[in-house]
Amino acid sequence: MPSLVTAQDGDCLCVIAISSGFLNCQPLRGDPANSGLLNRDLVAGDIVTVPDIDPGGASGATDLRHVFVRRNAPPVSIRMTHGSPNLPYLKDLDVPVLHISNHQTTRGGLEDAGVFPNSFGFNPLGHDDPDTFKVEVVDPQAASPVIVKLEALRRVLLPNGTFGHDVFPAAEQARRSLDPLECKIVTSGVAFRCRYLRLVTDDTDKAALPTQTLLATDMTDEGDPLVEILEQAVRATYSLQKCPVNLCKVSKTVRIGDTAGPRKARTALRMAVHILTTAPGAAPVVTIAQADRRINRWVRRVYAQAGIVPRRAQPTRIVDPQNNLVAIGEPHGVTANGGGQMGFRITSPGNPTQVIGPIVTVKNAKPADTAAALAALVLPPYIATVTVNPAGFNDLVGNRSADIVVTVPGGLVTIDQEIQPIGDTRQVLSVGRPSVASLAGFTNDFLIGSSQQRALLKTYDTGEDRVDIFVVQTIAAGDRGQAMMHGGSIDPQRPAIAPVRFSVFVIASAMDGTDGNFVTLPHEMLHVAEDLIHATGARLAQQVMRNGTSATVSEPASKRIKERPQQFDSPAGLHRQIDRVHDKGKGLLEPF
Amino acid sequence: MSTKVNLNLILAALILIGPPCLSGQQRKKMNTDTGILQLESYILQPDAFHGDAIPKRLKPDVIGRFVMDRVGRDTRIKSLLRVEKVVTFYDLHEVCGHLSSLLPANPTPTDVAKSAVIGRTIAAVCTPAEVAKLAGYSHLLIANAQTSSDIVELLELQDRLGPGADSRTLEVRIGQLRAAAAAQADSNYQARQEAYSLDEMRSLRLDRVRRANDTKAQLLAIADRKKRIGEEIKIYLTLEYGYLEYLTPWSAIRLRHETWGNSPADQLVRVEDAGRRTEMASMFRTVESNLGRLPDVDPENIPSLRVRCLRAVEYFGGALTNEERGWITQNAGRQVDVLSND
Repeated sequence: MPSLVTAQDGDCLCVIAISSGFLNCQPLRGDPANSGLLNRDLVAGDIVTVPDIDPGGASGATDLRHVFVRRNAPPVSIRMTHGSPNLPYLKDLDVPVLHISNHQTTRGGLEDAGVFPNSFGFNPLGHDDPDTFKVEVVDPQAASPVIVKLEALRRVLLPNGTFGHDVFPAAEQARRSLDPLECKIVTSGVAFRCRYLRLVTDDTDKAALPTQTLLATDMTDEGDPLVEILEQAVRATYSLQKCPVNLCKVSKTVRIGDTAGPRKARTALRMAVHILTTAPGAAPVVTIAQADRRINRWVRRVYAQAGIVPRRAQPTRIVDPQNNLVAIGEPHGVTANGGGQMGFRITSPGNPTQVIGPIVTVKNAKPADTAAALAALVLPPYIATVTVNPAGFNDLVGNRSADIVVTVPGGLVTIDQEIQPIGDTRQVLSVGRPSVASLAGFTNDFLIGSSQQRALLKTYDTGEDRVDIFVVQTIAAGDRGQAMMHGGSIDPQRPAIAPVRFSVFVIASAMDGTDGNFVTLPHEMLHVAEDLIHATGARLAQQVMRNGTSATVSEPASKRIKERPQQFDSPAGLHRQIDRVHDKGKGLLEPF
Repeated sequence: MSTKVNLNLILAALILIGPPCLSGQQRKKMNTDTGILQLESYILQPDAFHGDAIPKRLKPDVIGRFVMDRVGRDTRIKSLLRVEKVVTFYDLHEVCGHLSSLLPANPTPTDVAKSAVIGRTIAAVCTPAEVAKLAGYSHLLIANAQTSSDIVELLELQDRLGPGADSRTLEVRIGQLRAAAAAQADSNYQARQEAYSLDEMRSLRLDRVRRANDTKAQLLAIADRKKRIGEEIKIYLTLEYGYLEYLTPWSAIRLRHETWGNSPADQLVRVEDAGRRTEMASMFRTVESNLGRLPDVDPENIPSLRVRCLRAVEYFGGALTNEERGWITQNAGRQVDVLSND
C-alpha cells in the first residue's frame, strides 16, 4: 500500500525515493498521485506518494559468502562544514551559521602568514580561520567531481507574514553566486567536498579569490539600501547526477550571522550623523544621501565581520556652525590670578544683543567658577550652559578648563567682542569658532577636544547612547578623522565628559559619493566603541585600527577587524576587539 | 611556592647578566635598532594621540643620526612638530647645522609653517649666535605669512626666540592680514572667521607672548641660583605664575639647562654634571616633601604634583623608593611630565 511522505525544506523526489529504498525518483514520478510535483521544486509540506517497493529477490548457493551493496546508502545530502583534522568526514560537524571572515582573503593561517590553500582536502592554513567552510555532498551513486551552486540569498517577507530568504534580483545573482562550485570525492568514498571557502563583502575580495569566495554584500548602490548583510543566507544546491530526468536537487540554506553565538553575536551600533555647512545657510559639505550611503555601504561591509550592523538613531541632518562657545582657562585649566577682566557679546539674528560683563576675575577661582559667574549674567532668550572639561594630559588632574555654550531656541548664536587686553594673567577667555572648511582638531588632548570641536559637540551632540558623527570639509592637521573617546580605560582620572565622548569627526572626502577613504568612518567609530587607540603587532597592515588606514578599496587594504586578540598601543596589551565593543561600547549597542 | 621563588631567582639572575646569547655589541645594536624604530614611529608616522609620547632613554647620537638622515625638506609638518619635541627634550644641539640647512634662503608662503617649526627647534637648542641669525630670518617668514595657521606657528616661534626678540614685525603682519580678512567679512564667512582668529592672535596671544618673554627676562636676571631655580620650579609646577602656555615648556628647558652651568651665561652647551643634577633632584625632593605647605595649591592637585616632582627627582638622577614608584604608577594615569623618564 503506497505511503505518504511530507517533504522537508531542500527535499526532492529522488531523495524521498532513495530514502524509501528506490535508486532514484523514477517510480515516484510514475505514480499519478505525484503528477502535481513533477515540474517544480518540492517545498516543505508537500505530500509525496511513495509507491510500494518491490523487494525483488536474489538467489545464491548456500555455504558461500555473498556480498550485497546498497547503492542508495547513505542517503543523498548536502551540508556545509568547517571540517577537522582528525574526524571521519561524515562525523565532521555541520556549520549551523556562517560568518564573514576576519582574515585577508588570500592569506591563510592564524595570523595570515601563509597563502590561502586552493587545494582540496584538509589544510591547516585554511582550517585556522574559523569562518572558512566547505560544501559537502553525499551521493553514493555520483562520480567525482560533483557540481554545486552556491548563492547568497536576501531576507524577504513571505506571503504568510513571516520572514524567509530568496534569491537576489536577476541582475545581481551572478556576482553573488559561485556556480559552478566543484566538489571532489574524499576518502570516505561517498562524500564530495569543495575547497575552503570564505564569505566576503566587497568586490575586491571577491576578485582576489573568485573561485573560493562568495560575495555577501549590501545593495546600497543597486537600489535597496535596506538590505543587511547579516540578515542574508547562503544556499548550496546540488542537482543529482543520476536523476533520470535531471530535475532533482538537494539544497541546504544556512543563515549569515548569529544572534546569540559566543563569537560574533549580532548587534546593532547606533549612530547619528550631523553634516556641517561651511557657513550658516550654505550648502552642506556632503549631501544626506552621500553620508547615508557611506554608512549603508562601508560601515555595513566592514563591521559585518564583527557581527555588527549600523543603525541610525535619528535621520541624518544638516547643521550650521555657530561661534557660540566661550572657553575659560584653556589650555592649562589653572586658577585665576585675579584682577583681570572678562566679558563678551552675544548676537543672534532676530534676538536682542547682550553684552556679558565684564567681570573681574577672582584670585584662585577655578575656570568653572569664572564660567559660572559669566553664565549667570546671560539672560533669556539665551541659554548658557557651563561644562567642565577633564584635565589635559600635561596638566595636574584638578586643573580643568570650562566652557560656556550659549544657545537660543530656533536660532544661531555668535559670540564676539571678547575682552582681551586686560585679561587675567593665568586664566584666558577665548571663543570656539568652528571653521568647517578646515576644522582645528585636537593636537594632543583627545579627551578634551579643540574649542572648535567642543563648540559643535556641545551644541549638537544627541546623546550617550549613539556615536555622533560630525562631517566637516577638512581637518586642519590633515587628519581624515578624529575620535572623541570615552577614555576611561586610557586615563581613569581624565575621562571625557558626556557631550564630547562617543563622537567622531570625519572629513567630506570620507563621506562623499565615492569610495575614497572608505574605512575612515569605521576606523574612527571603533576608537569610540572600543576605547582603544591604534593596533600594532601582527597583521597590522590589514587592520582597520592601524594608524593610517588605506585610502582606496583593495583586497590587502586595512579593512579587517581581527577576531583573535590584537596588540594595541593604548591601553597597551592584547585586546579582542569584538569583546571590547560589547564591553566598552555596550551603551551604544542595541539588539539586532 | 618553592617553584615560584626559584623562578624569581632565575629571572633576577637573567636581568643581572643579560640575555646570554647576545654579545655586548649585539645588545648595543639591538638598542640602536629599537631606538630607530621608536623614532620612526613617533616622528615619521605621527598620529593625533601620541604627541607627547616622546621616546625616552635614547642615546643622543642615535637621535642625531636619525634626524640628519631621515628629516629633510620634504618632511611634512606633522613630523617636524615631533622632531621639535624630540630635539628639544634631548637638547640636541648636534643637529643645528642640519636644521639650518633645511630653511629655504628665500622662503615662499608655502614654506612658512614648516620653517617656523624648524626655526623653533633651532631656537630651543642652538647657540645664541644661531638664534640671533634665526631672529632675523623670522622676518622673512613673517612677510610671507598668509593665514592665521601660519601666524599660529610664528607666534610660537616668537615665544621661543625669547626676550629681546622684536615682535613688532609680527604684530604689523597680523594687522595686515586681519584688515584684508575683515574687508571681505561681510560677504565671506570664512574671511570673517579668519578675521576673528587674527583678532584673537593680535590682542590676546601676541600680548601674552610678549609678557611671557618679559617674565623670562626677569627670571634670567636673577643671579641667586637657588632662587632662580626655585622660581623655574614654580612655573614648571604651574604655581603662582601666569602665561603658562608659554612659560611652562620654557621652564622645563631652563631646569635642564641649569645642570649645565651655574648661571644662564654658562649654560649654552649641554654638559653633564652629576653634582648639579643631584642638586636639581634634591630641590625637587624638597618641594615634594612640602607640597601640603605650599600656598594656593588645590588639594586635588597634590597627587599630580607629587607625581610631577617624583618624576623630576628621578629624571635628574635621584633614586625613588619602591613605594614612590608604585605611587606614580597608581596616580599618574596618562599625565605627561616633561622632566620624566617615563
